[in-house]
Amino acid sequence: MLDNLYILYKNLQPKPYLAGEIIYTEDTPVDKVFLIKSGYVKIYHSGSPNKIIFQFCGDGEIPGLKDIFRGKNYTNTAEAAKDTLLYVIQYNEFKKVLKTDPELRIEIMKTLCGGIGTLEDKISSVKGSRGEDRLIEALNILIQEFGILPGGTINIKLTLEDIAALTCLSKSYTKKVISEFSTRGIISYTANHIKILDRKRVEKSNIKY
Amino acid sequence: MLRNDLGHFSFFNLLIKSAIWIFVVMKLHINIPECTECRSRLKSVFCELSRDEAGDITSEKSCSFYKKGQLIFSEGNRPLGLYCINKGKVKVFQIGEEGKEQILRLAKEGDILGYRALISGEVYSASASALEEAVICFIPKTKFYELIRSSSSLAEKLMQTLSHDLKEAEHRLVALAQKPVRERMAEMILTLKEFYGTTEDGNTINAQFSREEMANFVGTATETAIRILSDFKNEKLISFDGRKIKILNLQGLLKAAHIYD
Repeated sequence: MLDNLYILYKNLQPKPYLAGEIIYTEDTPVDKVFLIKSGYVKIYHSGSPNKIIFQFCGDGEIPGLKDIFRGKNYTNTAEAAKDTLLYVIQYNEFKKVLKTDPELRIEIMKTLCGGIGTLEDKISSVKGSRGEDRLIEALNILIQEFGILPGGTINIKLTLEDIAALTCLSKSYTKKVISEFSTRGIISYTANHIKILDRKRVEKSNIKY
Repeated sequence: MLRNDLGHFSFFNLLIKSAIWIFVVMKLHINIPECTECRSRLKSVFCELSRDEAGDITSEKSCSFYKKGQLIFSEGNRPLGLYCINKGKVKVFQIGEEGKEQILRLAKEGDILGYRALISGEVYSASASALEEAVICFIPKTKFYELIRSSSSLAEKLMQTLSHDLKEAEHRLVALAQKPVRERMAEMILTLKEFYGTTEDGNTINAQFSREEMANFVGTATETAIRILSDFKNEKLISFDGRKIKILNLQGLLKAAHIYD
Protein backbone atom coordinates (compact mmCIF):
# COMPACT_ATOMS: atom_id res chain seq x y z
CA MET A 1 0.00 0.00 0.00
CA LEU A 2 1.40 3.36 -1.06
CA ASP A 3 0.51 5.25 2.13
CA ASN A 4 2.31 8.49 1.27
CA LEU A 5 0.53 8.84 -2.04
CA TYR A 6 -2.80 7.89 -0.52
CA ILE A 7 -2.48 10.66 2.05
CA LEU A 8 -1.48 13.15 -0.64
CA TYR A 9 -4.52 12.51 -2.83
CA LYS A 10 -7.17 11.66 -0.26
CA ASN A 11 -8.99 14.96 -0.87
CA LEU A 12 -9.33 14.39 -4.62
CA GLN A 13 -12.74 13.40 -5.99
CA PRO A 14 -12.51 9.69 -6.80
CA LYS A 15 -13.96 8.27 -9.99
CA PRO A 16 -16.35 5.30 -9.60
CA TYR A 17 -16.01 2.14 -11.70
CA LEU A 18 -18.62 -0.63 -11.64
CA ALA A 19 -17.60 -4.27 -11.32
CA GLY A 20 -16.58 -5.49 -14.77
CA GLU A 21 -15.84 -2.00 -16.09
CA ILE A 22 -12.55 -1.62 -17.96
CA ILE A 23 -10.17 1.02 -16.55
CA TYR A 24 -7.60 0.74 -19.31
CA THR A 25 -6.66 -1.80 -21.93
CA GLU A 26 -3.37 -2.95 -23.40
CA ASP A 27 -1.71 -0.24 -25.49
CA THR A 28 -3.56 2.60 -23.73
CA PRO A 29 -1.04 5.46 -23.32
CA VAL A 30 0.21 5.89 -19.75
CA ASP A 31 -0.91 9.49 -19.34
CA LYS A 32 -2.89 8.84 -16.15
CA VAL A 33 -2.05 7.00 -12.96
CA PHE A 34 -4.87 5.27 -11.06
CA LEU A 35 -4.76 4.98 -7.29
CA ILE A 36 -7.37 2.72 -5.67
CA LYS A 37 -9.38 4.44 -2.93
CA SER A 38 -11.55 1.39 -2.34
CA GLY A 39 -12.41 -1.79 -4.21
CA TYR A 40 -10.42 -4.23 -6.30
CA VAL A 41 -8.91 -4.19 -9.75
CA LYS A 42 -7.76 -7.25 -11.64
CA ILE A 43 -4.82 -7.04 -14.01
CA TYR A 44 -4.74 -9.45 -16.91
CA HIS A 45 -3.31 -9.97 -20.32
CA SER A 46 -5.98 -10.55 -22.91
CA GLY A 47 -3.67 -10.78 -25.92
CA SER A 48 -2.80 -14.43 -25.31
CA PRO A 49 -5.01 -17.30 -26.50
CA ASN A 50 -6.20 -17.71 -22.91
CA LYS A 51 -6.54 -14.85 -20.46
CA ILE A 52 -4.08 -14.86 -17.54
CA ILE A 53 -4.75 -12.86 -14.37
CA PHE A 54 -1.44 -11.58 -13.00
CA GLN A 55 -2.65 -9.71 -9.98
CA PHE A 56 -5.50 -8.27 -7.93
CA CYS A 57 -4.85 -4.75 -6.65
CA GLY A 58 -6.61 -3.41 -3.55
CA ASP A 59 -6.92 -0.19 -1.53
CA GLY A 60 -3.97 2.20 -1.81
CA GLU A 61 -2.39 0.35 -4.74
CA ILE A 62 -1.70 1.48 -8.31
CA PRO A 63 -2.80 -0.93 -11.05
CA GLY A 64 -0.17 -1.30 -13.77
CA LEU A 65 2.53 0.36 -11.68
CA LYS A 66 5.35 -1.17 -13.73
CA ASP A 67 4.12 0.41 -16.97
CA ILE A 68 4.57 3.87 -15.49
CA PHE A 69 8.32 3.26 -15.46
CA ARG A 70 8.59 1.16 -18.58
CA GLY A 71 7.35 3.16 -21.48
CA LYS A 72 4.49 4.83 -23.15
CA ASN A 73 1.67 2.29 -22.97
CA TYR A 74 -0.02 -0.03 -20.51
CA THR A 75 0.89 -3.64 -21.30
CA ASN A 76 -2.10 -5.30 -19.62
CA THR A 77 -5.79 -4.65 -19.10
CA ALA A 78 -7.18 -3.38 -15.79
CA GLU A 79 -10.77 -4.17 -14.92
CA ALA A 80 -12.76 -3.39 -11.76
CA ALA A 81 -13.22 -6.74 -9.99
CA LYS A 82 -15.82 -5.16 -7.68
CA ASP A 83 -17.38 -1.70 -7.56
CA THR A 84 -14.29 0.47 -7.17
CA LEU A 85 -13.33 4.09 -6.51
CA LEU A 86 -10.17 5.38 -8.15
CA TYR A 87 -8.20 8.60 -7.81
CA VAL A 88 -7.09 9.63 -11.27
CA ILE A 89 -3.73 11.41 -11.21
CA GLN A 90 -2.02 12.99 -14.21
CA TYR A 91 1.18 11.14 -15.13
CA ASN A 92 3.39 14.25 -15.07
CA GLU A 93 2.10 15.30 -11.67
CA PHE A 94 2.77 11.82 -10.30
CA LYS A 95 6.33 11.94 -11.62
CA LYS A 96 6.87 15.33 -10.01
CA VAL A 97 5.73 14.02 -6.62
CA LEU A 98 7.98 11.01 -7.06
CA LYS A 99 11.00 13.18 -7.76
CA THR A 100 10.62 15.08 -4.49
CA ASP A 101 9.61 12.24 -2.18
CA PRO A 102 12.39 9.67 -1.52
CA GLU A 103 10.23 7.62 0.86
CA LEU A 104 7.53 7.25 -1.80
CA ARG A 105 10.22 6.03 -4.21
CA ILE A 106 11.25 3.36 -1.72
CA GLU A 107 7.60 2.37 -1.13
CA ILE A 108 7.09 2.00 -4.87
CA MET A 109 10.23 -0.11 -5.21
CA LYS A 110 8.99 -2.35 -2.39
CA THR A 111 5.61 -2.71 -4.14
CA LEU A 112 7.31 -3.68 -7.40
CA CYS A 113 9.48 -6.21 -5.53
CA GLY A 114 6.35 -7.70 -3.96
CA GLY A 115 4.75 -8.01 -7.40
CA ILE A 116 7.76 -9.84 -8.80
CA GLY A 117 7.82 -12.20 -5.81
CA THR A 118 4.13 -13.04 -6.27
CA LEU A 119 4.63 -13.77 -9.95
CA GLU A 120 7.70 -15.90 -9.34
CA ASP A 121 5.72 -17.96 -6.82
CA LYS A 122 3.06 -18.39 -9.46
CA ILE A 123 5.67 -19.44 -12.04
CA SER A 124 7.03 -22.07 -9.63
CA SER A 125 3.50 -23.26 -8.97
CA VAL A 126 2.68 -23.54 -12.68
CA LYS A 127 5.94 -25.38 -13.32
CA GLY A 128 5.76 -27.86 -10.53
CA SER A 129 2.16 -28.59 -9.64
CA ARG A 130 -0.94 -30.33 -10.87
CA GLY A 131 -4.21 -28.65 -11.77
CA GLU A 132 -5.70 -29.53 -8.37
CA ASP A 133 -2.82 -27.85 -6.54
CA ARG A 134 -3.14 -24.76 -8.70
CA LEU A 135 -6.85 -24.44 -7.93
CA ILE A 136 -6.13 -24.84 -4.21
CA GLU A 137 -3.48 -22.13 -4.49
CA ALA A 138 -5.87 -19.81 -6.36
CA LEU A 139 -8.58 -20.39 -3.73
CA ASN A 140 -6.13 -19.48 -0.97
CA ILE A 141 -5.15 -16.29 -2.78
CA LEU A 142 -8.81 -15.35 -3.20
CA ILE A 143 -9.60 -16.05 0.47
CA GLN A 144 -6.62 -14.00 1.58
CA GLU A 145 -7.40 -11.14 -0.80
CA PHE A 146 -11.20 -10.91 -0.56
CA GLY A 147 -12.18 -12.82 2.58
CA ILE A 148 -15.08 -15.19 3.17
CA LEU A 149 -18.69 -14.17 3.82
CA PRO A 150 -20.66 -15.85 6.62
CA GLY A 151 -21.74 -19.17 5.16
CA GLY A 152 -18.42 -19.78 3.40
CA THR A 153 -18.75 -17.91 0.09
CA ILE A 154 -15.62 -16.08 -1.12
CA ASN A 155 -16.39 -12.36 -1.30
CA ILE A 156 -15.92 -11.98 -5.06
CA LYS A 157 -17.78 -13.16 -8.14
CA LEU A 158 -15.61 -14.93 -10.70
CA THR A 159 -16.49 -16.47 -14.04
CA LEU A 160 -15.06 -19.83 -15.07
CA GLU A 161 -12.78 -17.90 -17.43
CA ASP A 162 -11.50 -15.82 -14.51
CA ILE A 163 -10.70 -18.92 -12.45
CA ALA A 164 -8.93 -20.49 -15.45
CA ALA A 165 -6.98 -17.24 -15.87
CA LEU A 166 -5.93 -17.38 -12.22
CA THR A 167 -4.85 -21.01 -12.29
CA CYS A 168 -3.26 -20.76 -15.75
CA LEU A 169 -5.27 -23.79 -16.83
CA SER A 170 -7.58 -24.21 -19.80
CA LYS A 171 -11.27 -23.51 -19.19
CA SER A 172 -12.26 -27.12 -19.80
CA TYR A 173 -9.63 -28.44 -17.38
CA THR A 174 -10.61 -25.85 -14.76
CA LYS A 175 -14.23 -26.96 -15.13
CA LYS A 176 -13.19 -30.58 -14.61
CA VAL A 177 -11.17 -29.79 -11.46
CA ILE A 178 -13.99 -27.66 -10.01
CA SER A 179 -16.43 -30.47 -10.70
CA GLU A 180 -14.13 -32.97 -8.93
CA PHE A 181 -13.79 -30.63 -5.94
CA SER A 182 -17.58 -30.26 -5.81
CA THR A 183 -18.08 -34.04 -5.89
CA ARG A 184 -15.60 -34.43 -3.06
CA GLY A 185 -17.38 -31.76 -1.02
CA ILE A 186 -14.47 -29.30 -0.98
CA ILE A 187 -16.20 -26.38 -2.75
CA SER A 188 -19.38 -25.56 -4.62
CA TYR A 189 -19.52 -23.19 -7.60
CA THR A 190 -22.80 -21.66 -8.69
CA ALA A 191 -23.66 -18.35 -10.38
CA ASN A 192 -20.00 -17.24 -10.30
CA HIS A 193 -19.84 -17.68 -6.52
CA ILE A 194 -17.29 -20.03 -4.97
CA LYS A 195 -18.38 -21.47 -1.65
CA ILE A 196 -15.81 -23.18 0.54
CA LEU A 197 -17.37 -26.30 2.01
CA ASP A 198 -14.27 -27.84 3.57
CA ARG A 199 -11.90 -25.10 4.73
CA LYS A 200 -9.29 -27.47 6.14
CA ARG A 201 -8.79 -29.20 2.81
CA VAL A 202 -8.51 -25.89 1.02
CA GLU A 203 -5.84 -24.57 3.35
CA LYS A 204 -2.48 -25.19 1.71
CA SER A 205 -0.93 -27.08 4.59
CA ASN A 206 -3.77 -29.58 4.57
CA ILE A 207 -3.85 -30.59 0.93
CA LYS A 208 -4.82 -34.26 0.91
CA TYR A 209 -6.16 -36.12 -2.07
CA MET B 1 54.95 -47.47 4.92
CA LEU B 2 54.03 -44.98 7.62
CA ARG B 3 56.67 -42.59 6.33
CA ASN B 4 55.25 -43.00 2.85
CA ASP B 5 51.72 -42.20 4.10
CA LEU B 6 53.02 -39.22 6.02
CA GLY B 7 54.82 -38.11 2.88
CA HIS B 8 51.57 -38.24 0.94
CA PHE B 9 49.79 -36.47 3.76
CA SER B 10 52.24 -33.59 3.91
CA PHE B 11 52.26 -33.27 0.11
CA PHE B 12 48.46 -33.21 0.10
CA ASN B 13 48.49 -30.71 2.96
CA LEU B 14 50.92 -28.49 1.09
CA LEU B 15 48.78 -28.69 -2.02
CA ILE B 16 45.67 -27.56 -0.15
CA LYS B 17 47.57 -24.79 1.61
CA SER B 18 48.94 -23.58 -1.72
CA ALA B 19 45.47 -23.61 -3.27
CA ILE B 20 44.06 -21.61 -0.35
CA TRP B 21 46.99 -19.20 -0.55
CA ILE B 22 46.56 -18.71 -4.30
CA PHE B 23 42.85 -18.10 -3.75
CA VAL B 24 43.49 -15.60 -0.94
CA VAL B 25 46.13 -13.84 -3.03
CA MET B 26 43.75 -13.66 -6.00
CA LYS B 27 41.06 -12.19 -3.76
CA LEU B 28 43.44 -9.72 -2.15
CA HIS B 29 45.08 -8.68 -5.37
CA ILE B 30 41.99 -7.47 -7.07
CA ASN B 31 42.37 -3.86 -7.82
CA ILE B 32 39.11 -2.38 -6.64
CA PRO B 33 37.67 -0.93 -9.85
CA GLU B 34 37.05 2.80 -9.62
CA CYS B 35 33.33 3.40 -10.19
CA THR B 36 34.21 6.63 -12.00
CA GLU B 37 36.27 4.69 -14.55
CA CYS B 38 34.15 1.53 -14.68
CA ARG B 39 32.92 0.72 -18.18
CA SER B 40 30.25 -1.58 -16.75
CA ARG B 41 28.78 1.35 -14.82
CA LEU B 42 27.65 2.93 -18.09
CA LYS B 43 25.49 -0.15 -18.69
CA SER B 44 24.18 -0.25 -15.11
CA VAL B 45 21.59 1.54 -12.97
CA PHE B 46 24.46 3.73 -11.75
CA CYS B 47 24.98 5.29 -15.19
CA GLU B 48 23.30 8.55 -14.24
CA LEU B 49 25.28 9.14 -11.06
CA SER B 50 27.54 12.17 -11.03
CA ARG B 51 31.32 11.65 -10.90
CA ASP B 52 31.32 12.67 -7.24
CA GLU B 53 28.54 10.24 -6.35
CA ALA B 54 30.31 7.44 -8.23
CA GLY B 55 33.56 8.31 -6.45
CA ASP B 56 31.71 8.10 -3.15
CA ILE B 57 30.70 4.52 -3.88
CA THR B 58 34.30 3.53 -4.61
CA SER B 59 35.40 4.66 -1.18
CA GLU B 60 32.76 2.53 0.56
CA LYS B 61 32.47 -0.59 -1.56
CA SER B 62 34.47 -3.80 -1.53
CA CYS B 63 35.23 -6.07 -4.43
CA SER B 64 35.79 -9.83 -4.71
CA PHE B 65 36.94 -12.38 -7.22
CA TYR B 66 34.68 -15.43 -7.70
CA LYS B 67 35.66 -18.70 -9.30
CA LYS B 68 33.32 -20.47 -11.72
CA GLY B 69 30.53 -22.09 -9.71
CA GLN B 70 31.29 -20.15 -6.53
CA LEU B 71 28.28 -18.92 -4.56
CA ILE B 72 27.83 -15.16 -4.28
CA PHE B 73 24.83 -15.29 -1.95
CA SER B 74 22.48 -17.99 -0.76
CA GLU B 75 18.72 -18.33 -0.56
CA GLY B 76 17.47 -17.67 2.97
CA ASN B 77 20.35 -15.35 4.00
CA ARG B 78 19.78 -11.73 4.92
CA PRO B 79 21.19 -9.15 2.47
CA LEU B 80 23.80 -6.76 3.79
CA GLY B 81 24.26 -4.81 0.59
CA LEU B 82 24.03 -4.70 -3.17
CA TYR B 83 26.19 -6.70 -5.59
CA CYS B 84 27.24 -5.16 -8.89
CA ILE B 85 28.96 -7.25 -11.58
CA ASN B 86 32.16 -5.67 -12.82
CA LYS B 87 33.22 -8.67 -14.89
CA GLY B 88 31.78 -12.09 -15.63
CA LYS B 89 28.39 -13.77 -15.81
CA VAL B 90 26.16 -14.95 -13.02
CA LYS B 91 23.09 -17.13 -12.66
CA VAL B 92 20.35 -16.51 -10.11
CA PHE B 93 18.57 -19.72 -9.14
CA GLN B 94 16.32 -21.47 -6.69
CA ILE B 95 16.44 -25.06 -5.54
CA GLY B 96 13.04 -26.72 -5.90
CA GLU B 97 11.43 -29.18 -3.50
CA GLU B 98 13.00 -32.12 -5.30
CA GLY B 99 16.44 -30.54 -5.15
CA LYS B 100 16.26 -29.46 -8.77
CA GLU B 101 17.91 -26.19 -9.67
CA GLN B 102 15.67 -23.62 -11.33
CA ILE B 103 17.41 -20.71 -13.07
CA LEU B 104 15.44 -17.51 -12.59
CA ARG B 105 17.67 -15.06 -14.34
CA LEU B 106 21.07 -14.53 -15.90
CA ALA B 107 23.20 -11.50 -15.20
CA LYS B 108 26.27 -9.95 -16.80
CA GLU B 109 28.63 -6.97 -16.53
CA GLY B 110 26.85 -3.89 -15.25
CA ASP B 111 23.92 -5.83 -13.77
CA ILE B 112 23.09 -5.61 -10.09
CA LEU B 113 22.22 -8.57 -7.86
CA GLY B 114 20.31 -9.01 -4.63
CA TYR B 115 18.44 -5.73 -4.93
CA ARG B 116 14.98 -7.17 -4.43
CA ALA B 117 15.74 -8.69 -1.03
CA LEU B 118 17.60 -5.54 -0.07
CA ILE B 119 14.71 -3.24 -0.99
CA SER B 120 11.94 -5.39 0.42
CA GLY B 121 13.90 -6.06 3.62
CA GLU B 122 13.46 -9.80 3.26
CA VAL B 123 15.87 -12.72 3.05
CA TYR B 124 17.21 -13.73 -0.37
CA SER B 125 14.55 -15.71 -2.21
CA ALA B 126 17.19 -17.16 -4.53
CA SER B 127 20.91 -17.90 -4.68
CA ALA B 128 23.48 -16.55 -7.10
CA SER B 129 26.64 -18.19 -8.37
CA ALA B 130 29.31 -17.31 -10.92
CA LEU B 131 28.90 -18.96 -14.34
CA GLU B 132 32.50 -18.06 -15.11
CA GLU B 133 35.31 -16.23 -13.33
CA ALA B 134 33.80 -12.99 -12.09
CA VAL B 135 34.70 -9.77 -10.31
CA ILE B 136 31.82 -8.45 -8.25
CA CYS B 137 31.61 -5.25 -6.25
CA PHE B 138 29.62 -4.99 -3.04
CA ILE B 139 27.95 -1.76 -1.88
CA PRO B 140 26.90 -1.74 1.79
CA LYS B 141 23.18 -1.41 2.55
CA THR B 142 23.50 1.98 4.28
CA LYS B 143 25.32 3.45 1.28
CA PHE B 144 22.75 1.98 -1.10
CA TYR B 145 19.85 3.56 0.80
CA GLU B 146 21.71 6.85 1.09
CA LEU B 147 22.10 6.84 -2.69
CA ILE B 148 18.48 6.04 -3.56
CA ARG B 149 17.27 8.69 -1.15
CA SER B 150 19.58 11.37 -2.52
CA SER B 151 19.48 10.54 -6.23
CA SER B 152 16.05 10.50 -7.84
CA SER B 153 17.62 9.48 -11.16
CA LEU B 154 19.18 6.36 -9.59
CA ALA B 155 15.85 5.56 -7.92
CA GLU B 156 14.09 6.02 -11.27
CA LYS B 157 16.58 3.65 -12.92
CA LEU B 158 15.97 1.08 -10.19
CA MET B 159 12.23 1.40 -10.60
CA GLN B 160 12.70 0.85 -14.33
CA THR B 161 14.82 -2.25 -13.61
CA LEU B 162 12.19 -3.64 -11.24
CA SER B 163 9.42 -2.87 -13.75
CA HIS B 164 11.41 -4.67 -16.42
CA ASP B 165 11.83 -7.67 -14.09
CA LEU B 166 8.10 -7.66 -13.41
CA LYS B 167 7.33 -7.62 -17.13
CA GLU B 168 9.81 -10.45 -17.69
CA ALA B 169 8.13 -12.50 -14.95
CA GLU B 170 4.74 -11.90 -16.60
CA HIS B 171 6.18 -12.96 -19.92
CA ARG B 172 7.62 -16.13 -18.42
CA LEU B 173 4.32 -16.98 -16.80
CA VAL B 174 2.43 -16.53 -20.07
CA ALA B 175 5.02 -18.58 -21.96
CA LEU B 176 4.99 -21.32 -19.37
CA ALA B 177 1.23 -21.52 -19.22
CA GLN B 178 0.61 -21.30 -22.93
CA LYS B 179 3.67 -22.14 -25.01
CA PRO B 180 4.84 -25.67 -25.79
CA VAL B 181 8.34 -26.67 -24.62
CA ARG B 182 9.71 -26.56 -28.20
CA GLU B 183 8.75 -22.89 -28.56
CA ARG B 184 10.15 -22.05 -25.13
CA MET B 185 13.45 -23.77 -25.94
CA ALA B 186 13.80 -21.88 -29.26
CA GLU B 187 12.98 -18.63 -27.49
CA MET B 188 15.52 -19.36 -24.76
CA ILE B 189 18.31 -19.94 -27.32
CA LEU B 190 17.45 -16.60 -28.93
CA THR B 191 17.43 -14.94 -25.51
CA LEU B 192 20.87 -16.40 -24.75
CA LYS B 193 22.16 -15.06 -28.06
CA GLU B 194 20.83 -11.60 -27.28
CA PHE B 195 22.08 -11.71 -23.69
CA TYR B 196 25.58 -13.09 -24.19
CA GLY B 197 26.25 -12.06 -27.76
CA THR B 198 28.20 -14.23 -30.18
CA THR B 199 31.82 -15.12 -30.78
CA GLU B 200 33.71 -13.78 -33.80
CA ASP B 201 31.84 -16.09 -36.22
CA GLY B 202 28.64 -14.16 -35.38
CA ASN B 203 26.65 -17.33 -34.76
CA THR B 204 28.13 -19.13 -31.75
CA ILE B 205 26.63 -18.01 -28.45
CA ASN B 206 29.30 -16.60 -26.19
CA ALA B 207 28.47 -18.79 -23.16
CA GLN B 208 28.26 -22.43 -22.18
CA PHE B 209 25.37 -24.23 -20.55
CA SER B 210 24.78 -27.83 -19.61
CA ARG B 211 21.66 -29.56 -20.96
CA GLU B 212 20.36 -29.68 -17.39
CA GLU B 213 20.78 -25.92 -16.97
CA MET B 214 18.93 -25.34 -20.23
CA ALA B 215 16.14 -27.66 -19.11
CA ASN B 216 15.84 -25.83 -15.81
CA PHE B 217 15.74 -22.46 -17.51
CA VAL B 218 12.93 -23.56 -19.80
CA GLY B 219 11.14 -25.43 -17.04
CA THR B 220 11.12 -28.95 -18.39
CA ALA B 221 12.72 -32.33 -17.70
CA THR B 222 16.35 -32.77 -18.82
CA GLU B 223 15.32 -35.69 -21.08
CA THR B 224 12.76 -33.48 -22.85
CA ALA B 225 15.34 -30.71 -23.30
CA ILE B 226 17.85 -33.17 -24.76
CA ARG B 227 15.23 -34.50 -27.18
CA ILE B 228 14.19 -31.04 -28.36
CA LEU B 229 17.79 -29.85 -28.75
CA SER B 230 18.48 -32.98 -30.76
CA ASP B 231 15.44 -32.19 -32.95
CA PHE B 232 16.82 -28.66 -33.51
CA LYS B 233 20.18 -30.17 -34.44
CA ASN B 234 18.58 -32.63 -36.89
CA GLU B 235 16.58 -29.79 -38.43
CA LYS B 236 19.89 -27.90 -38.84
CA LEU B 237 18.65 -24.98 -36.76
CA ILE B 238 21.60 -25.25 -34.38
CA SER B 239 24.78 -27.26 -33.88
CA PHE B 240 26.89 -28.00 -30.81
CA ASP B 241 30.56 -27.57 -30.13
CA GLY B 242 30.77 -29.18 -26.71
CA ARG B 243 28.50 -27.03 -24.57
CA LYS B 244 28.54 -24.13 -27.00
CA ILE B 245 25.55 -23.55 -29.26
CA LYS B 246 25.95 -22.33 -32.81
CA ILE B 247 22.88 -20.91 -34.53
CA LEU B 248 22.76 -22.25 -38.10
CA ASN B 249 19.35 -20.99 -39.15
CA LEU B 250 18.18 -17.87 -37.33
CA GLN B 251 14.96 -17.55 -39.31
CA GLY B 252 14.12 -21.18 -38.61
CA LEU B 253 14.73 -20.67 -34.91
CA LEU B 254 12.58 -17.52 -34.90
CA LYS B 255 9.85 -19.54 -36.58
CA ALA B 256 10.19 -22.35 -34.02
CA ALA B 257 9.85 -19.73 -31.26
CA HIS B 258 6.84 -18.23 -33.05
CA ILE B 259 8.56 -14.86 -33.21
CA TYR B 260 7.98 -13.13 -36.50
CA ASP B 261 9.46 -9.87 -37.72
